Amino acid sequence: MKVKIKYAHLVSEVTGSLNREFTLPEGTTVGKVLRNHIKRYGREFERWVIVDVSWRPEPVANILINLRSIVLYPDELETQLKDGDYMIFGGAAGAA
Amino acid sequence: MEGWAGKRIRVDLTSGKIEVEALPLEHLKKWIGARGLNSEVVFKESSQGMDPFSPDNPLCFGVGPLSGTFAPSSGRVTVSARSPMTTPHGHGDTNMGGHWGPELRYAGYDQIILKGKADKPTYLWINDDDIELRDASHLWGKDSMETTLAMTEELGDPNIMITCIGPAGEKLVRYACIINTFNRAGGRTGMGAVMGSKNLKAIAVRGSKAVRIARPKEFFDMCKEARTRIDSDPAVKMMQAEGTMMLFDMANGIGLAGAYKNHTTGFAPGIEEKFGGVVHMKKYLHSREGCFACPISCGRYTYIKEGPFAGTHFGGPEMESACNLGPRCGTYDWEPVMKMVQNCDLYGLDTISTGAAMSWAMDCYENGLLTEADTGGIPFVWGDTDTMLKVIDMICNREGFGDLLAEGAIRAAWKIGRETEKLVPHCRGLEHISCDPRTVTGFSLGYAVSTRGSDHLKNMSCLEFPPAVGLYQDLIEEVLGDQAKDFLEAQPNNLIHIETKPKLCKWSEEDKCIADMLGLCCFPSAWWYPLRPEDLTKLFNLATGMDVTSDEMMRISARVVNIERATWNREGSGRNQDVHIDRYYELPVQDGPYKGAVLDRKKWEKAIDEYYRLHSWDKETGFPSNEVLKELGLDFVAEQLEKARKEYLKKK
Repeated sequence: MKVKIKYAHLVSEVTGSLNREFTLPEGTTVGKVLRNHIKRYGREFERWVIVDVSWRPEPVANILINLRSIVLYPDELETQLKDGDYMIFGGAAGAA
Repeated sequence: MEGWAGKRIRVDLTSGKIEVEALPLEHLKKWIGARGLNSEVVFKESSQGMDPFSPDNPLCFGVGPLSGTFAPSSGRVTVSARSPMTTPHGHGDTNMGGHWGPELRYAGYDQIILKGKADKPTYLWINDDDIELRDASHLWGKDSMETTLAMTEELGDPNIMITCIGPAGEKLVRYACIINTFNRAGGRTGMGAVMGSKNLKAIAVRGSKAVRIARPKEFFDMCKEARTRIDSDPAVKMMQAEGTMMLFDMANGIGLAGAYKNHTTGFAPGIEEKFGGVVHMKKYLHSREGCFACPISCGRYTYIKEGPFAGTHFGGPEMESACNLGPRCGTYDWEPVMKMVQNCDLYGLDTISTGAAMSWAMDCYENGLLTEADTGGIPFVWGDTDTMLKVIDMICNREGFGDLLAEGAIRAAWKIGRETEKLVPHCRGLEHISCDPRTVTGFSLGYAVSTRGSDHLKNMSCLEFPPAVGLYQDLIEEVLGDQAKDFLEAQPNNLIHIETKPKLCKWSEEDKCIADMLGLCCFPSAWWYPLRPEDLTKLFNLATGMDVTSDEMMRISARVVNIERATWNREGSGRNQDVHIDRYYELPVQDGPYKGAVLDRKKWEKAIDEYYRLHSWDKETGFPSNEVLKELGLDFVAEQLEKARKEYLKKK
């Protein structure tokens, strides 16, 4: 299956590109894509994508899937991606 | 008095009389400060049908009880008067950052009210208790930077804070703005033109007094906690790096903003690699700037190193300036756009209305509704930045076709005719910012019911943006109550579902008004939400020694919104103007994730009904009911609106 990923804001500086398309095995989860990116791009990527906000007990994943915001609940990271899904890393610039 | 200064300055520019008035505690408790204090004066001391350029128009500068304190982002000032830009001439105001507001507090004042008209160019000089009017003939014609530098030298103290107008305000360009601290603009609704109409070039302030805090230790601790929360917000980190352009990058990137080619397409396609905040940061950012006590420091200082504009340096640009002079006019070319932003700041022009006027002309030109016979030989072609730079000079100097554009897009359209008003995206004469009303329906509703004409800064329904759902789900549930489930499940299409927006819009306008009344920036509490109404209320209580609940503070906000609304109602503006132009109901978004989105008239009317119901406003007229006005302690408003209500119904 094919998944499009957009690297928003300063995340694009870390990855060196704004948009990429990946061919992934069926059943790939959001969490797996996230972990692979952290492994490849390191702390600087993690800095923009995994965010500790003081008013929440757990960190927030700065990820949108098909423009839908997700948070770092284990269940949501286990969400399986589908062919044609569109992910945005680093898109959650507050409310805008 | 703690928190407040408890005094205001009243100036009659015609006679030169200056008075310092005490502000009773009861009055301050009722209106809190800044926008609240100003809005009461604008309603009470102006009259139905008033010409905004008449000497009687009360021009108010207000700061809040947290101005000049350690409270985060407490450098804001509200400037209010009847607006020369809007149609009709309703309530106008603008909010600016910088350091001028805190200096007014240090001089010992909460507000300045200026009326009358000086017989020659004049500036007001406030040096603690010494207040005087001085001749400004030698400053007339100077731009905002020349004025600031000349006055600083003349008054002999680099710490003096100066707010001034440029040549555009002197020439009564209807959307002339006010500039303070070199590049902090009070942009919208033409407050600079009101200053110009009074022959008031500038106000200089120096203060050396303390702001007294009722519970200093607790206040300091709360400020520290507030700063920690702000710092942990992902948006703050990005805004520190990219400036406000990061808001544009995100909103445009998911198809919601851009105002591309006069708002025709819904967003600006393919813009990021050329025009985004990251591009600015990498190529042009010299340094960051912050307003008073601001942990965010979203301000940019730009330096263009090479090319035709090499050597250009200035404070800015912020997002709306860049967007409205850039993609709105069909260009993604950063360097000339930044030059235009700089020129607008120097001349004292609102960048949004300037871009809106030029993009309207380009749209008309492309559609054959405007020809070179109308424009004095100027071809208005999308993205022609050479022409745009020349036209901005012409607007400032009211030369040739620039004189017409200086009236603002809607008045220019009325003059030209040929149904060109259909190409002006506006509400009540003030043009939209960059978010598209078809896709961001909370903003859309906010544009229409805003109490200063189309604007996002009165009803900032920012909780509707997709990222907010992840970050602030608890707040969404609190604000929307039983509608929250539908809202959350509908994401990301919650953006185009208008059904839940009346509640969000009303909450957002009252939340934002708290920051405005206190003298705080909207970013930490109304654009994103590390601080909530209860946090701002706590800061207020600790500073002033009051014991107000956040619900009570929201009702005070409602009082301010209602009196601003009443200023419009008195001019015959109610439900008849709570609408968008036909384009947004007829032309769907052309591309992107929200392709096909368009406003539905029936749903729109239903949303307006619901918004009125939440406010207890009359469904037929859109006027506040007598009951709600009385409940809010606005009996004097209710009396004046009775006549206007009858006139409205008669015309209907």
